[in-house]
Amino acid sequence: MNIYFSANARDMESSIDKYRLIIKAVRESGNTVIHDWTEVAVFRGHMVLDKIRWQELFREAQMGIDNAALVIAEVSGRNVFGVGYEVSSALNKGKPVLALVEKNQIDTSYINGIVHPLLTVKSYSVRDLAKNVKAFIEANEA
Amino acid sequence: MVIHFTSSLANIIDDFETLRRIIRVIHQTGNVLARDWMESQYQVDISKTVKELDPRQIYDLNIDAIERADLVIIEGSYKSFGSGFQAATALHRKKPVLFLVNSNRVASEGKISRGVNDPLLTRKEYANHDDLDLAVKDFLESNSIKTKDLRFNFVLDPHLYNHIRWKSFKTKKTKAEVVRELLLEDMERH
Repeated sequence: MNIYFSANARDMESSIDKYRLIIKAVRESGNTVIHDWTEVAVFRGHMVLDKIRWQELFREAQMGIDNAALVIAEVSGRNVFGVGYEVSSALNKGKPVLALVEKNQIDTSYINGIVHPLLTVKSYSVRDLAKNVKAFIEANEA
Repeated sequence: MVIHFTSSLANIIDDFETLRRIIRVIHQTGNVLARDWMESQYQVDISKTVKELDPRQIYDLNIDAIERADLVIIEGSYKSFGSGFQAATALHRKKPVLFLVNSNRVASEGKISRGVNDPLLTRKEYANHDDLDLAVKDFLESNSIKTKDLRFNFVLDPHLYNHIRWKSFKTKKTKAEVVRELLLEDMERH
């Protein structure tokens, strides 16, 4: 299965380790992360991007969602406009979404209030991150 | 028109005057808010003793407000999951969205808000309150029902349909143009 991964692309240096854990769990379960932007984004913090490139990134993200069977989103933190946009896009396109929130943020998270039949919200610690990802994939395998 | 206005909760206290100003322009131009949440949220944030709505109530109220709204305005200088979710939800429901960013905060803006190429999304940067007023007024004016063509379903029996088809063929005009001219003639007579 193709799986699209959505997360905050800012502060990549502090987040990349947990993103890698999620992507590794997807691959270990025999699936593909479609349009994996994470490793490039580590360096993007040092790049200057113009308007055209931003539109290209947006198009790539939307294509990733279109071509994915499932979407996994890391939604911790407040500064995640893009992740909110992508989660809504995915649900509107009929894609099941797993939203992962760090355990200490679940009570105040906007995602905790969203009721949608295709949305699974899980709070996690780094120790059970891979287990949550694999359980979601297994539950959505045809 | 009914307008849904939203922003990140993170900037309520610091940007309260800016947010109030947007609401004032909405009211001054004869429009109404779908959900008037800001003053009560400000009190919640200031007092620290009033209980906040739970996330499920907030989500339900926002989705209901988007459904009822003709237009959506987002103050997006401070990024938030909720603003992004509501922007995509509104665009999916074909609601025009105005996305406002303070020009001092453009550098911290995310890739999605800068890259969205949906024709229903208007992104405006503002440097001061005059810019802000103008951006909101322009958006409301350009999306006013008064200035837009409207569409509706029109059901005809075969007799009337054949007449319009014949008239369309004879005058080399589209069927819609034939009907429009008849209406204009009728308006001139009355």
